[in-house]
Amino acid sequence: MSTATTNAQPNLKWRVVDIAVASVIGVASAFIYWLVAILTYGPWEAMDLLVPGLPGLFNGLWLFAGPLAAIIVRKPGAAIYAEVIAGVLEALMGNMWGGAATFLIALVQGVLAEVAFLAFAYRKWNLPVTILSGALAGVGCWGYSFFTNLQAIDLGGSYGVMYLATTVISGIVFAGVLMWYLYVAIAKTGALDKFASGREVRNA
Amino acid sequence: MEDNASLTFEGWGYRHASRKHFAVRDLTLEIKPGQRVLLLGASGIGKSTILEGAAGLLGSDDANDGASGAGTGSEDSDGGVTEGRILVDGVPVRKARGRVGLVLQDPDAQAVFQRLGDNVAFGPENLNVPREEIWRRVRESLDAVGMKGVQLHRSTMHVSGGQQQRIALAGALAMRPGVLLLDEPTANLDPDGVDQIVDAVGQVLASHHSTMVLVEHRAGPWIDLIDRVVVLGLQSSEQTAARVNGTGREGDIDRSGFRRTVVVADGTPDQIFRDPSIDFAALGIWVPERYRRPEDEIRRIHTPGEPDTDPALGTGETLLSCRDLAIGRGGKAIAEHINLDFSAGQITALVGANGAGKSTLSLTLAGLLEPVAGAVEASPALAAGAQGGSPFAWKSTELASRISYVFQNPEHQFAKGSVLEEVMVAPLRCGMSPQKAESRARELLKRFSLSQYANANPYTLSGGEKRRLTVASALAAAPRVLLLDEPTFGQDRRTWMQIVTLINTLRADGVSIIVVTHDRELVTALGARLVELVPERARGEWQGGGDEDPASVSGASSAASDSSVAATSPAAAVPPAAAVSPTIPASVVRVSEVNARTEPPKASSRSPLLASLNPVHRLIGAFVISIPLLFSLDWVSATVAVAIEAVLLMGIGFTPWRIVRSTWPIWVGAPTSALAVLLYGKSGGDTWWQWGLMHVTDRSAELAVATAVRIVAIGVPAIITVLGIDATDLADAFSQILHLPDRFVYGGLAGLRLFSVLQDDWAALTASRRSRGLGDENKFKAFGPQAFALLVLSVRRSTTLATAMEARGFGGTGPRSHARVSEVHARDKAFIALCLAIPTVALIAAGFAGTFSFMGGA
Repeated sequence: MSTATTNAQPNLKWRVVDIAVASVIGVASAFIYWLVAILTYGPWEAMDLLVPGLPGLFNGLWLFAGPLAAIIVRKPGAAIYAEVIAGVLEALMGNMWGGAATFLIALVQGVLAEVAFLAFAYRKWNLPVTILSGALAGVGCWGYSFFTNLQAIDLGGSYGVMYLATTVISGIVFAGVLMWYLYVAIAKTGALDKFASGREVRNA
Repeated sequence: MEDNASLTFEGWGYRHASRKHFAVRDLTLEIKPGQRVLLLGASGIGKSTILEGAAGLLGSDDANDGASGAGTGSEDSDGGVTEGRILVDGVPVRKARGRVGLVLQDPDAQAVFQRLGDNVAFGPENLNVPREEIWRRVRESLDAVGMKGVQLHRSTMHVSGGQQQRIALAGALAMRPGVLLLDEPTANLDPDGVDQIVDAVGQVLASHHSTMVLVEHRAGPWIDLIDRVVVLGLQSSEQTAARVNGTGREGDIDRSGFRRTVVVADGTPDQIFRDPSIDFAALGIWVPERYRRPEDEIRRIHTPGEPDTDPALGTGETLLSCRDLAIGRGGKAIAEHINLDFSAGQITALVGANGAGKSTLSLTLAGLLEPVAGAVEASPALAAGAQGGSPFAWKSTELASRISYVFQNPEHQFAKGSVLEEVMVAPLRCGMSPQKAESRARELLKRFSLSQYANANPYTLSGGEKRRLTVASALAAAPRVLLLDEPTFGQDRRTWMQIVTLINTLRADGVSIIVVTHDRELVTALGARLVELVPERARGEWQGGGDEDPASVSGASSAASDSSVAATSPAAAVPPAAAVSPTIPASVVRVSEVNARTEPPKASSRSPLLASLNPVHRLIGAFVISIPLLFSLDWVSATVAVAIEAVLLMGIGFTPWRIVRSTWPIWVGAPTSALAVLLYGKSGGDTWWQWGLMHVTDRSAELAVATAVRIVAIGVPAIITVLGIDATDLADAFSQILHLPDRFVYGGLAGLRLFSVLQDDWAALTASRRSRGLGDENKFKAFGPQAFALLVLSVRRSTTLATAMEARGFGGTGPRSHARVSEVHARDKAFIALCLAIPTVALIAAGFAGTFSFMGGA
């Protein structure tokens, strides 16, 4: 399944079902993000004390909506859209990244996740591109942290480098590799039969 | 008002994506204006596909309009293939937006908006109807479905299933359709909800004379509204006579040699239902009472090897009892002082109106919900080997081998990638060896005729098969008590019969069976004991509730429930419960009243001032406060900003305690970031402490304080200004003020509405995992599979939602109107100016104090 898929003539027009599924991926992700925030709060500080920047390994758990929506829906802007929907919902609920600001971080992460698919003109939908997308989302997450909460830490110093490395690794693992196999598993349930992405798995 | 259209199928066919065979092919059918057609056929024959096609939801706009038969199909963007065409008043249906209204089966899946009025307005908006006209139509349509004077701002989550479905019907009517398509509109409703919908449709047909096409397994309540019945069948290449029977797998009936979909019978209800050559049972159809032949009558069923004991009594060995039990969620009791016993080999039916608390009681009995007071007690025989006699206190694996619960939605229950593994879950968790678990699983699959799917993905089975699989998995760990939530909901007669037979065979195993149901025929067929939950001050629908005269119940059937059985069967004079087992007194459990009738509009902020602002301006305000503060990281600007914000927030009525409570995550996040800065931040001045990479200095301490205070300065207003914004109002503002595309804005909004549905799904998934012995795993390990199940559910829900939205004309490229106005006042501009003033003053103060430090400095 991880063989390269190239669509000669991708259909880039959004259907209603594309919008609905991308939205709900955003919504379900927001719900999972919120649970992850509660579960990771305790370990976060402990890990930061153990090895500076280590808790960046959790960051991928807040990055997956974009890559997942993109590989399922396969329309331009799907990654941005899903991540922003997740951000809007979190903003409306209120969370520890600060209400409206969640919207901004979501936008940054979504745009960077999108770049990977854009770079291949929305023609390549495979594991490596998904990994790239997850990694780039990690870079966005890292950069945004240093623009806001962690401004006082030198982003080129050891903490900054370590935090970049852990966040990107986490992005690759959770938002990249895991999302690819998650997509394949969802497709196998037949829930994605209305999508080219789902038919590719089911007909394989 | 007379507004009806003709509906014509000309050699129409459709093949769904990823399917080998056409669902419908070469169908030719003419429905005249004003006709009311009941469409019948075996499960899987393509009735829903026909309705979706007629609603213009299949195929593409640029598909061939020419009258063409089979073999000229074109692929659409869903990957499906269309042949032929469907015309509404002679116009291809995809070009006749709004002429056809479709109501789907699941009421919850059709609500796009939180407020019920907005849902009705949605169709006209998509047709670009002017605003005043929209609200006129909304009121008219709600009148037409019998909801005159209902509060338009009421939440669709807070009304009953019957009302939700009436709102969906009103939503379709508001588009002024010439043709009304109803796809099993009552399959998910309780008897009272069924009556509401049938009455509402009756009123609509009487006033609008619309053309109607109805697909429904249980046509009984509808029969007076129908003037034509069409029975569909398949014709294969080698036979001239059409085959109408389903064989084997529903959803994919035998299509070998399938050539075309044909009308095998067509006529008035009298002609069709009195035709002795049609085998309605094989078609999965419930013959309406008045046409029932002796063989169609539902009677108590018997299966080989069943014990001679009365199923309403069982063997008398009590397995589970309630002692002065109070049930409820979140500690609030909805019913108290419940005393019931459940014995081996007994079948108990928990009945009562939607929302009365049947699920709450059954989940409590199953050890999945904590009793509010009193106790659920397992008998010593049942509890042997477990810790104590209270199922709620048992470990998940102890529970799975004793009491099992089958959820209404099978997809709440799936945990594995194949049918075989699915059945092996509970035995393995309960310590059975893999070989033994597999042989046990294979035996169950054989018994439930699922062996051929052992390696299939559970999600890909048909509805009836999924249901059988969940029962098989629940039985795998050999529990003595089995609870089933609505096992026959939405099933056709064939599947229904399979399920009923299955339940009856379990008696031989000495299992105590408890079914939560609305289905009178199920109760009759099983000979079950009745336990009815009756809201205070209401009368029971099943047995008259205590002191009333039973005769008055059937007499009052127009007001209360009159379900298909009681109202029109020859036995109508006798209440069904008494007819089943006259010696068993049925129990009544009194519960608190279902839902309040009025609901105040929801405020969008605790502050009336904030609530009166435009949502987009509130959002922009939040950004305007935050972003400039990011330019300088110093304690002066941050503290000044916090001080001004505190004064302003208290000025508009927020107490300090309320502020902290609303923004608690900030107070958790600020110290975390501050600690990282303290230890690893930019250094300078005296070193306080150093260890490894940790380096605490004058500078890092100062920056840590500034970071913490600034997070508060940015976060508090960013949360408080947006907290409570109504998602619909925000979407309206995005569309009307920021001019974002409606497709994405309202598509996203529809997704947001699913959030509360997903929360319920999550709770159900958690409970089902506990019931299956998977609940003892550590949280991190359990999280993945459960999150996966949630995602699959949400994808399915959103796919249905997309269909419902398209059925309301959403997603076209034409202009849309807006039923609601997103207003902007002078105070919105003043609000933004004020928001900008806060960081400005703070940064100037920092400048004067000499602490201004651009982005935290070097």
